[in-house]
Amino acid sequence: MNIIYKLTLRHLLMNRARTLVTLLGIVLSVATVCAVAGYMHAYIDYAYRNAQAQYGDWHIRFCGLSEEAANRLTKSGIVESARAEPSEYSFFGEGEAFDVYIRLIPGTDAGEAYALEQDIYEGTERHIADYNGVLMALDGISYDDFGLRKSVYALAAALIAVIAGSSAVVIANAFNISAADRVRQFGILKSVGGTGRQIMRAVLFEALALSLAAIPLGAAAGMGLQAGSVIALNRIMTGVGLIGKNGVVLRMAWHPAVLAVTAAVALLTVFLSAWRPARRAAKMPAIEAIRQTRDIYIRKHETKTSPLTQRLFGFEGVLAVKSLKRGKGKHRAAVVSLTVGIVLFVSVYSFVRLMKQSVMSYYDEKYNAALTVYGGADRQDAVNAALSERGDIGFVFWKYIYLLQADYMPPSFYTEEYNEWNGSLGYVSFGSVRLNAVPDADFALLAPESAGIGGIPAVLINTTGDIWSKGRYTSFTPYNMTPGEVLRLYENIVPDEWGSVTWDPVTGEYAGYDEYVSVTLVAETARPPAGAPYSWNGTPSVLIRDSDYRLLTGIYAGSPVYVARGDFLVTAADADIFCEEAEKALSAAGVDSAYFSIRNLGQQRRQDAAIILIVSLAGYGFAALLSLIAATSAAATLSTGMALRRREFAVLYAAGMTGGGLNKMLNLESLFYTLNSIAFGMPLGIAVSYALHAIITRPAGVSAYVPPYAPPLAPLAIAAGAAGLMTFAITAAGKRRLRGLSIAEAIKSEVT
Amino acid sequence: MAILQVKGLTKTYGKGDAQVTALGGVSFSVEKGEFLAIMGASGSGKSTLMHLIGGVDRPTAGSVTVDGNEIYALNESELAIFRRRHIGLVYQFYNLIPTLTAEENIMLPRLLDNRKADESKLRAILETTGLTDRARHLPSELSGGQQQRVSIGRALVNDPALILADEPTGNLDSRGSREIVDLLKLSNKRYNQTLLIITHDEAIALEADRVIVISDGVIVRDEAVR
Repeated sequence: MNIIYKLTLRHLLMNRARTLVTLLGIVLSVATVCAVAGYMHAYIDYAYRNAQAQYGDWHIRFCGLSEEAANRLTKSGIVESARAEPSEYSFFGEGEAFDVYIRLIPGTDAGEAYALEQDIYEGTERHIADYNGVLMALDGISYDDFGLRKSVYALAAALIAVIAGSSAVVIANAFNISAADRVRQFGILKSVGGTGRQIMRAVLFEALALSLAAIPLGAAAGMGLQAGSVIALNRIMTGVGLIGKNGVVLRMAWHPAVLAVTAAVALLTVFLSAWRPARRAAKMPAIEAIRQTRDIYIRKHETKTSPLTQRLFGFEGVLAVKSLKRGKGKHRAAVVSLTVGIVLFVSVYSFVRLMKQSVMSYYDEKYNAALTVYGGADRQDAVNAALSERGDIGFVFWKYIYLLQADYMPPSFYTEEYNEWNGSLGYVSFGSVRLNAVPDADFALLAPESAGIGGIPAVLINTTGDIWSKGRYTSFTPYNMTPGEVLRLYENIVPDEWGSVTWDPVTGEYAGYDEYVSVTLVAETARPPAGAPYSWNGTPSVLIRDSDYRLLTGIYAGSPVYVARGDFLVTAADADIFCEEAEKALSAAGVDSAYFSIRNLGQQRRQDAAIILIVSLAGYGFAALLSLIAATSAAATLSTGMALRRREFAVLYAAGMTGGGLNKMLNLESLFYTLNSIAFGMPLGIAVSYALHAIITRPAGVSAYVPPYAPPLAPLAIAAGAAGLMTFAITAAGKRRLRGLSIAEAIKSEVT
Repeated sequence: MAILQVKGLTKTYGKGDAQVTALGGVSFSVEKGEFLAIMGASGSGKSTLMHLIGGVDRPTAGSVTVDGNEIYALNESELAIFRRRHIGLVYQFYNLIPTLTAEENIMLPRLLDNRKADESKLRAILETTGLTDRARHLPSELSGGQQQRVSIGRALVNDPALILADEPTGNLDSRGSREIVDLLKLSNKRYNQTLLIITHDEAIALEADRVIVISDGVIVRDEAVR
């Protein structure tokens, strides 16, 4: 074997601890890449089989073809295979008719498929052609040439790029340290005639050797990871009915392409990481490498320490700061690694928290089913009656929210901001008002002071709105909430009469109209009860008491109040049974199924919880793996630093520093590392979590309540604590090795 | 014919007021087979001179010609290969590769050349350096004197035009020093090897054919010893 390679292998074996740490870093990153690539493949595989099981293994079904048309179809250049069955339709007149199931050549342009359909059925009056859309998309048959498969691969590529990028930083760090360790060796090689190319080859061979060892291990670990999570995912998702409906579940993806991608990404990452250290080593002048003169070039201001350090931490503190400043590159590498870990953990935490908040706030623990009835009060009552008769279903209506509509509000109700926005629309829009009726008891909780107020008290909801203007979302307050203000809600005005209605500033009324409903604003709420609309869509919503609603609809026969729909929230003994039985009961009572919809909130909630669980598992797993990669790099940096400084420690001992003093110095170094990482990680983590909050809660149409932003202090503290613990643990391990340090020997010894 | 020609060799560090002249225009030549000692106090510029002759550092001005090749006209790679084949360097601190055995360290310049280890050559060197039964040991398993003999073996392995030894005995006790000087002299006599030795030990200098004394970067004395 070539001497350079032999030398490199021995170097790796001699520095076993660091080699293992570097290997671990590469193994972890390979495993993550392999798992991500594998998942994506497994997902596509699942989606494909699911589409096949659900509809069949065909792209398009042409119904009711004549034999001639069927033959013409089969011979088309874009058809890969075709299968015919007798048809119940016939679009080509008399004679035998067929349904023909075709598979198109993968990658065919969807436009050609539609053209084929037109062509085959040309001249017929009507026809039926079914498209198996998912299967087509997965086979790359789509209009924009960016099928589902490609989107999944794009996502995988983005994730892999993130992993490869962050791995590259930490692996490069490991090679930097290794190359720095070997500087003297390279110097000797150069002095006896080693060329720059040979030195470069030495570092790159190190990369190759490590990759060759790490890639199979990492791929195996990645496969294991994937296998474990496929089992877990199947268990979680089939349990709540998210998958497995057609007997199709996720399975491992053993595609060779996954391994090829993994190996290629790993090799590329490692080589890119090793390239710079290799070039630097190759370019270093022999004389500098032999002398290792770099310490001599330290400039004074680079190791300057403040008098405060001396006063706070003593001389040991000063030495600790100086040594951190001297090893700036290494210091930075360790701090960056620790920071990456902190930020990742906090980001995932924030994302999962937001998801939980926004998705789960949709559900109220008390209800496990929901029933929506469209139409007026009559139908609401009919539904109520039909269900109430069925005592055997076992449910109680806990709360119902009616959606009522009334028109026109006094102009003083609208804020300047609202008018500005309204004006910018280019047309004048007076929104209607939604009156949401809630049980009196619930209303009393929201507005305790409403009891003494006469008339119809109302609680204003949706007090802030998000509008899209100038390319971004901005929040504004659309309505003035003035306690005691009376809103007069008028009947629908048809456009013909528009001109006859005017606002009279003296009486404060719309002249020309007497019919109205008055409600008095008593409170506002940012968190309305479940079922009420959360998001502002240009229409103000108020909550009123159910008893008032009944009064309104009762007293004002043919009143301006129009019932748009009723949302019933249900607490059933068994949601599954309720949903089934309610449907039967309503059909029996003659309510058309077009006028109601029943949702199983329990199951929906379990599904959402399962998705959140999966996302958090994946997120934390991903963060944990990347943080581990970062941690291995920090560990490599710190432990190498300890090994290289044996001589310095010996000098300090020789100069009379006690074991306790040395201990203090090293502990302070650990502390400074941790503080530094926190100093970067804390604001970055908070910034990322704030950005996530802003991005997710901003767009209008979020049908959920998300509490205002709160910095994720607890996870930050945990992450910072973990970083500190790791730093101290590594330093402690290094200190143990210093125990047998012989002053004379260490001072005499060369740094090799 | 001169195997080494040094002309106006100058090396300065730093700029402006902080500029330090380590070597101020040194010129001399050395004949093949000559044993030359270079003396001087510490900081006089002798190590700089040796590094410049050995081609591991680059001069500010001047030229060095070894065996008819002007070494600073070569690029980095060519210079490395030239060093490997024509110059043997011996340092005060041995500079052995700790992960290679004694014989591998000796063969290093040949191995870097991807040339096969010449068994008879290796045996001859091991015998000359008295390391035959230590060949398979790592540097850490050898005494200081033995390590220095390995580095001399390494310098000899390619029959270089020139052996440069920088304080080769500086780190050894008197018995070890004697061994090393005898070994260097032996190679000088047995292989007619040209030898430049940097030392501040008067006794070693007196064994040479010629002594050059350097002070503040310039030659202040150049005379034949015998």
